[in-house]
Amino acid sequence: MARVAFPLSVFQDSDGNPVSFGRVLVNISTDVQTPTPEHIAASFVVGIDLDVNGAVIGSPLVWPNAELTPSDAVYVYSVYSQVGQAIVREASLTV
Amino acid sequence: MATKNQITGGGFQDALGNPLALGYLQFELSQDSQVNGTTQIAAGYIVKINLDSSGNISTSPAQSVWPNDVISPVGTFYLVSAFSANGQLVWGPNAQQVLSTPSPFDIGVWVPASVNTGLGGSSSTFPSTIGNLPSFVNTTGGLQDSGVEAADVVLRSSNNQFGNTIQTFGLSGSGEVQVSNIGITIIDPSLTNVAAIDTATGTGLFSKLATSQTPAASTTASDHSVPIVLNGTTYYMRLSTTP
Repeated sequence: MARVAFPLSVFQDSDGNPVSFGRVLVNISTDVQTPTPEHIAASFVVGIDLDVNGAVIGSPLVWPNAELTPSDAVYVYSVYSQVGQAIVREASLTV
Repeated sequence: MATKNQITGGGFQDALGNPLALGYLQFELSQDSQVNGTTQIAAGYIVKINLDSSGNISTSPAQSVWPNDVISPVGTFYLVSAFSANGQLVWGPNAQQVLSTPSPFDIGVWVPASVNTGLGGSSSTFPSTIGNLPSFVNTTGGLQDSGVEAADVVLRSSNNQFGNTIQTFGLSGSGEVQVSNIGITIIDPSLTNVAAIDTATGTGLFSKLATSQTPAASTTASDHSVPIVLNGTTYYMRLSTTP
């Protein structure tokens, strides 16, 4: 029962250009309980900054979905460019 | 004499584990209630519970609420919402219960969408007669005026009020659960079995509808006898010209 690395590490636009200094917004689709036990708030959106190469800065960790209750929750993420243009909008992610 | 129980923990956080620092919770009791036989608890009085810098319930001072298992009527719950420090709703509202044990009560054990709202507590009439209800009663925060389809509903009766100790309604397809402010009605897809439950009293009624009937007239002397077959039993309706 441990958190794991956020599985998406580098972001590009549809032309293959890195999303330099962009931002990834992440939340969970529904309120869930963690094994610890604690609570992840579904509407508590968190941002992950990207570097010049579109790579995630830092080492964000997330709970595997199977360890959350209810277990049918998924992560939802959107990717924005440095100027705020939506590159990816509300994509689902299961870890 | 029942007393309030301290609530602790929670660990409210975002998807990456950042705490809901200095946020707060709001507790709203599901209905006006009574405790210790004399004390009234006003449901409309929303309680604010502060979180610390770790997203846990602040312990200084201790935050306490009335446990749901010591107040009347049974089956109450709290609608709990979590807000960020700047007032943004981030969690809930979720129906949750605080119990008298353990003390203090760690709210980390709460599982969102797990409390049956509108069904009462474990010792009331309702849960002893009804179970495995679909999730709509878990998440809407109460009864509502809408039809809801469900896959399966199982009714259990401790006093034969449904005519069976266990009655299962397979509702996939056209089966329906109808919830109103006065009761719950469950109809199976064949329109044969119906259960009605008065949510105020817990009284249940189970019946089979007359769906197959074979009217065919016959005559006996001066009377006419009309046999009608209902669910396999033949009844006779007599028509007579004699008063």
